[in-house]
Amino acid sequence: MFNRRNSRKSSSQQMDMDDGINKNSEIRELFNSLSSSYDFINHQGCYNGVGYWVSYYRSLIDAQELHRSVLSVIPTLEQINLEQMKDSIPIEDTLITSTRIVVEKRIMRGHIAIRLDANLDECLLINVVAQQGRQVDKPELEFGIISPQEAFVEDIDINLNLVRKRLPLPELQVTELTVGSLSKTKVAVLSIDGIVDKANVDTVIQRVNDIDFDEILDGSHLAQMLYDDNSTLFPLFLNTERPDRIASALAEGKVAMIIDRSSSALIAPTILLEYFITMEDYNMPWIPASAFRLLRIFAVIFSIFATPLYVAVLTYHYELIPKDLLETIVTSRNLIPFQPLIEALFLEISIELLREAASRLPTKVGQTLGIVGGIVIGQAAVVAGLTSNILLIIVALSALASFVTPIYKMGNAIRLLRFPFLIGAQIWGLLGITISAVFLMTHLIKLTSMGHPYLEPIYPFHLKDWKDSFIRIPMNFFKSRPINLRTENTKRQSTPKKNAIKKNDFNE
Amino acid sequence: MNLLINEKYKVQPFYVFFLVHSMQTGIGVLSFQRMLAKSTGTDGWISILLAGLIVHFMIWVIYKIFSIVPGDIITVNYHAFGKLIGSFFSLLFVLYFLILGLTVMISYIEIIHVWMFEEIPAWSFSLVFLILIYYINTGGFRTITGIAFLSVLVTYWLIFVFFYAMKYSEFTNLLPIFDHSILDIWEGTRNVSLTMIGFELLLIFHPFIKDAKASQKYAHGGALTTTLFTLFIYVVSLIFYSEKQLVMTIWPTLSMTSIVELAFIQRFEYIFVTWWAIIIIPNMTISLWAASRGAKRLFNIQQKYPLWGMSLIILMVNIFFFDIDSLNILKRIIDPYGVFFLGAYLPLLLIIIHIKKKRNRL
Repeated sequence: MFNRRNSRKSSSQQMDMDDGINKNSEIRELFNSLSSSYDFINHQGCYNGVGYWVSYYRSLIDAQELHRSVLSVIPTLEQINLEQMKDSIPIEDTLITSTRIVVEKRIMRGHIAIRLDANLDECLLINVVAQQGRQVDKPELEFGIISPQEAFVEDIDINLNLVRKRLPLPELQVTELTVGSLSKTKVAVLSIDGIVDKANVDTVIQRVNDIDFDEILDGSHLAQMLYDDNSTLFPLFLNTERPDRIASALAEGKVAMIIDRSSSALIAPTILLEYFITMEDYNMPWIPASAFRLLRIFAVIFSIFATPLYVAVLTYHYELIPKDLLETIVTSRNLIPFQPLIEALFLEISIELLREAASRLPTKVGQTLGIVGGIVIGQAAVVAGLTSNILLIIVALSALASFVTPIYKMGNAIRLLRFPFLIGAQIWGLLGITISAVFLMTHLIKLTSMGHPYLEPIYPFHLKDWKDSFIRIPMNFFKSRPINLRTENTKRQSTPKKNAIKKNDFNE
Repeated sequence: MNLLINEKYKVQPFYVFFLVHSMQTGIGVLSFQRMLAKSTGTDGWISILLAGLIVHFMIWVIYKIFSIVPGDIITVNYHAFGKLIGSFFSLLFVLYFLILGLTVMISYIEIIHVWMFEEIPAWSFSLVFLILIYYINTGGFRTITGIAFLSVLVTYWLIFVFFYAMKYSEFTNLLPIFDHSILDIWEGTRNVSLTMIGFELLLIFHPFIKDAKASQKYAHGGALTTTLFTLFIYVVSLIFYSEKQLVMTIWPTLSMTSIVELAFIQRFEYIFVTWWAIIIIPNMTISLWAASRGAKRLFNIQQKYPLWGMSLIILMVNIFFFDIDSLNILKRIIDPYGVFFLGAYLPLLLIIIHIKKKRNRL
């Protein structure tokens, strides 16, 4: 198979050299070289004494469509020529050409080529591409209870349709680009004209165009190549499978990217706090929405700091613990032969192991593993005297807490962040944790997403943008779009009418 | 000697509040009470207010200087004294900022030694701090401002300690008022100077402020907050300790935190000392940034080279000379000489520049 690919490449190189001398034979050359692949079909037909060739990749086209709309139409024609065929065939995406590059590109995208014996250099290209892929399904990664149950699939047109249905606007602009010298992945850059800062769109388009890589297979794959800073744990582009999230980001004035053959769409620029927002927050009254958001942020902080604090306190600062509590901890730890760090690492790594294994295993086995790993191993480790009960609780809770982030990639970052803090705690106790925290703080201040500061609205401080950060205040306060996006149109709603203001005065 | 800073590297004027306030608050706040109580006792609050007033005057002088000659202190020195003498004074400033950073670091390491880890060598702490400082510095002034800003935001909750300490207070300790002579009060003002310096970093970061003129009120606001904060701590210390006890306590602020006892935490001073690192780190970072930036401007080199050199010097000091004596020497340099230098030099500079400007016009 590899040999075949190589030989095809060399023959196409040769053709490039012949370019200009004998242009017309190029098409024949092309079909000859394509034919060397077994799934390329050259079907010869004859009608009214005129011979014709139908050539296509069996694996790319929809055979039923070919039979119904092309092959069965040909015998109804009075005269066989390409123009006539083009007019009679009930498919709008057709083209008559003899340019090699166009023919090759279209055939690779699922077109069929019809040539007449009289002139084998002219092709009629008809789009009969097979639409295969799964149906629009429930979101798996970003499931929401009080939100629409639609998620992106691996087809760019279906995905665009899902977004466009939510934003039926002529201003919603789609720019389609192609990246990847081998994969030729289609990337659609979406933005709402009149709202978005044009500079952001241009940056995205420029960065996508600058990519020089052979294969782009997924949205997250692409995102890494667009990042401002490659060596960071934090995701700088938000990848989501929820069309409503894309629609809301577009309405705020962000830029979205939908990638063909990938069910994750990208949003840029993003801020850190955005990764703790679920779409559900907007579907609930503001008080529970804010409470759950605060809970999520607390969970993340807990998840990062709980185990390091345990290690720091038990290694260096046990004086911190009041003596009643100390008794409990000492009883739980008195049989354990290791120092707290080893104990913590043992548990942390086994939890990471469980998590990694569970995400690779089929669902049914995964459940068993959860029970075996979580309960049996955990309990056995305590009974065997390898870890203390208290640490088991802390580690399990912090593992649980790291799952609350709606965006999975942020969960990954938090998973890993714990380890530098653990090491800091072991070296200098609380001081080590503090210094690591300042390192983290600096890193976050330095990070930018598409040139926009990542830690906004905390730093740079924008009070107006706090309305949708740690908490979400009522919708009638959502008067303007986020400041950091520098949108062209900042107004989100008109000022409320005066009679809308309720008169109460204790019901008069 | 002129300089232009790209707009995108500048910070909003209101951050000056946080820069000045966080730079002033640092190591001094933990220990100024003892010396102040020794010299001025119950009238220490007058000294603090007086020192605050002087700081406000100095900030006014600095903004006045920059309204005549825009730029930083190096530009001003150049314009005032010409190349050779101007560079000499600029070099003094670089040296001053370096010593300031060094003093802050050594003082904090000493606190860590006394309160938390006695055995860990000083150089290892300073190495980690220097790496952190370098990391922050590579982000440029915006990152430094961010750290100063966040450090103020995340440390202000510690103030509850002082309210907690008030539970054990004896308000009559505040009396008698007006019991000291003017000279005593002046002596006290000198003693609080270590808590009050830090505003002079404006001399270097002034060109990094967007719409710098508008930032003057924020600078004054920062200094005012520091003054009131210092005053508050002093009053709390006075009512918490007796005067004699206060004179004997080296770190009254820290000792006060030991009294805090929560349901799940005892020995609160551990948390206080470690959390104080978040206040100290911007202090060291801004000083070293200013020193290295001054050197960069003076010698026309990339900023990382002076920063490396200074880091190396600080590391060497920590390896070879670290002990309480070296700290005392450093504090002596800062206290009479550094403070005197600032207090005398800046008004003088203003006068010279003012005269030069008038002459040019006439």
